[in-house]
Amino acid sequence: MAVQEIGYPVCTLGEAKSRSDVVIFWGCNPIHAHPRHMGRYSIYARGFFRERGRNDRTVIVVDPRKTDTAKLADVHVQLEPHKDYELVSAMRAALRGYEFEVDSVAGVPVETIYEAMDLCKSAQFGQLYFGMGVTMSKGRHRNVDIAINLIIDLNTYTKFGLMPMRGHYNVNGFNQVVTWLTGYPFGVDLTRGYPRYNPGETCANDVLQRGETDMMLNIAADSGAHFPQKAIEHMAKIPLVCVDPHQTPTTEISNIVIPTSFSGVETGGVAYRMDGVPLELKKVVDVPEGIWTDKDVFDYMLKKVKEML
Amino acid sequence: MVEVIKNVVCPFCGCLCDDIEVMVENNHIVGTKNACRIGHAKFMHFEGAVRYTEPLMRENKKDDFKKTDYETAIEETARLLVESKLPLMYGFSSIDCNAQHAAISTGIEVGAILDNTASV
Repeated sequence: MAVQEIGYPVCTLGEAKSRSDVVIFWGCNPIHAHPRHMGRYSIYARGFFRERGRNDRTVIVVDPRKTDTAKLADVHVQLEPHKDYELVSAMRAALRGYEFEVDSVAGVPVETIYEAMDLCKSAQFGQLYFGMGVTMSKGRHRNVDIAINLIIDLNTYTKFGLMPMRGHYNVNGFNQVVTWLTGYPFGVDLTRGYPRYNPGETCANDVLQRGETDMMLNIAADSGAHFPQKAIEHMAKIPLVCVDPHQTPTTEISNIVIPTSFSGVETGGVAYRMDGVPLELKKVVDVPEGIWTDKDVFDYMLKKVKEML
Repeated sequence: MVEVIKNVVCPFCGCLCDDIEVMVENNHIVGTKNACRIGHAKFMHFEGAVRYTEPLMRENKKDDFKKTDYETAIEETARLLVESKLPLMYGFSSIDCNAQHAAISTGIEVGAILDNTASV
């Protein structure tokens, strides 16, 4: 969301691997959530200009908890929960050389903030990876907004980029495809016959919690397990169709369950990596007999919808 | 005989590691190489998960599911989408781009709200 307001400096993971010498993980725990991220791309990987891998990189972890990723860090900035915005503001101030009149900001001693900023300033190529800890704590996309501003500030000294750590394998792919088709990346409302986009009004949780939507089609996601209680209560009231190969809490409150094959295991296709690089998925085994693929299901659904309209 | 398929892209997280080796025997995955634990579990799918083999339908959510065929289940879904005033289509993050294209086109036809996991 913040990305649309001010844009953001990106690079591919390949470039991060070859060049980055300062790596910040903010509100993410790749050791558990993206186990091979550090080995393949961000820290331990031996890149073209970073032949010694980890020894050529400084790692800063910003997290309120002492996570397993934080234990590997050179600097662990242990902020108080929900104070990300405050901390980034302080970092931007430190970067511009302002003196603090307090001892700590967001629970972090000012010396640590200066140290972290010195490290970032002296980087040849820095890279900030942020996770749900940033987007899900108080301030939400505004946190990303100011983090982008910090990166812009840092770019006056050196090169710095940032990248969201994507959870599902094709989150980025949907954003790409829906932007191509409607002009907006997610939360697109087409009920008026033209695309509208207003997060806070047109996202899944907004229409569910306000009880506005009167039918839901849930596709390969487990909203029944991850959405707030109020949204799920409404999902239980309305006709719900679930397209998912497995039994999940969402299928338990569904009216129709349509199982499909696994993309990337039983069917091929294309997916976008977190840095926006499209990769071809491979089919390794055959689809079990009688099971339709996602594409078959939606092609048929599109055909039927066109007949009914 | 175990066949090794190289350079498979892992469909679990946004890293999309593309160096996975998958061991296949009689159309069953028997092992992986290079994958992390989460990716390995996705390929092997243990996790005690129950996989559906046929579409299921029920009128009332308190009733038990009745087995049906794909044509009926999808037609009923299409009817619900068309009759609904404000249908919501949510998810999309774990299907490939071609399927997303067809699903989004369906949403555009019926005038739905399209949203994915990036908004949560």
